[in-house]
Amino acid sequence: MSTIAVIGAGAVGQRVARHLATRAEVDCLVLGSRHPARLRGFGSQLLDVDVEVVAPGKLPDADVVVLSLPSGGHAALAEKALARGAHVVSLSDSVTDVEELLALDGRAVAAERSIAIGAGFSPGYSCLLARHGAAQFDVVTEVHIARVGTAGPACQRQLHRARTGTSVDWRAGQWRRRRGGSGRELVWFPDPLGAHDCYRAALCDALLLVPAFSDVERVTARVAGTRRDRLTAMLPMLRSPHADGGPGGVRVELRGLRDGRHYTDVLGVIDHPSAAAAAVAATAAGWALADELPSGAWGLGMLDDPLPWLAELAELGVRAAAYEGAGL
Amino acid sequence: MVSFLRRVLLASVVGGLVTIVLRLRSSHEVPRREGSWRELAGPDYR
Repeated sequence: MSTIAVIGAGAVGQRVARHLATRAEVDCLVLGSRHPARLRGFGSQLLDVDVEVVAPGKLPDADVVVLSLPSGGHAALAEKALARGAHVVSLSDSVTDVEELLALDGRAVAAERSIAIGAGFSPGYSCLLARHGAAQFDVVTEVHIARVGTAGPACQRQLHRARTGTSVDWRAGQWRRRRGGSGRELVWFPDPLGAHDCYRAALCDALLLVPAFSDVERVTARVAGTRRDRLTAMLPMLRSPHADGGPGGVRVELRGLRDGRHYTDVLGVIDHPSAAAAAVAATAAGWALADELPSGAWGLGMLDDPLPWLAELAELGVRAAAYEGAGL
Repeated sequence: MVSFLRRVLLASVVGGLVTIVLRLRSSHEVPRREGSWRELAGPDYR
């Protein structure tokens, strides 16, 4: 009997649970929530699967643990899950969480379990696009990620903190830490999102992409922001976050060498970040349940072949796009 | 006190005028774009 635990049943966690409930190979879902009573109605909507709702406390026994709770403390939970013999899928996009999760690589390898880090929209789908696009190059020298939009309230609070945090970029073989809110760049996202000014922030995409590209010289990540976002970033959130911060998009720009010449390719996706992140996390959980994932702690950009993932996600309605015709 | 208030008022007026000029002179046009987005389909996933 296969069991998947979804810890954190917010905007993304509930969507992950819905995806997993439709999978024939999943027999039991354990939903972890700070407010179990609120999930009783939701649990009854999930048909063809046993649903158990638990409050914070001891980590439930499961084959796969999906960590969709707010950022912070993901590594400690992942460590407990590993000790119980479970695969882990984390959706955290916090730099601290990602650094701590990457440090668990040795333990995961020893336990022959996988920790899929940043299995969301960005990072997550952005890493898959980067890996997919890299196949068109002989050598990838630069990867630039930009995103717009957020998922649920926890994601919006995390982005609010990230705007004033320290960005982590990779340049010429070393990490560069710069002030969040700097480095404005006009970025064209897939239509109808169009152009948005994007800025540095405490984003973890570079941490997950640099190990995936051995010859890369520059990896950067930016997030869209308005004047009001930048002005109020240093203040507490002035109003309650929206139930869902979508629609959003991701743009991945790859530069490198092909047949000795320099080229630039651009890939993107547009979707509700909460829906796309849930689809990516559920896909990762499904592959982990089937023991198809490599042991260790890794981001989705480190996968050898992202195509089966992209194809499965396309069937779930998350479809990528390529920018063409500009003679880049 | 009156002199101080006059200076504050003058600074506010001058600041406001500068802001108006800068806002009116700045362009809100988005740069022209070439090319277009193509959704990846079946062959792209093989």
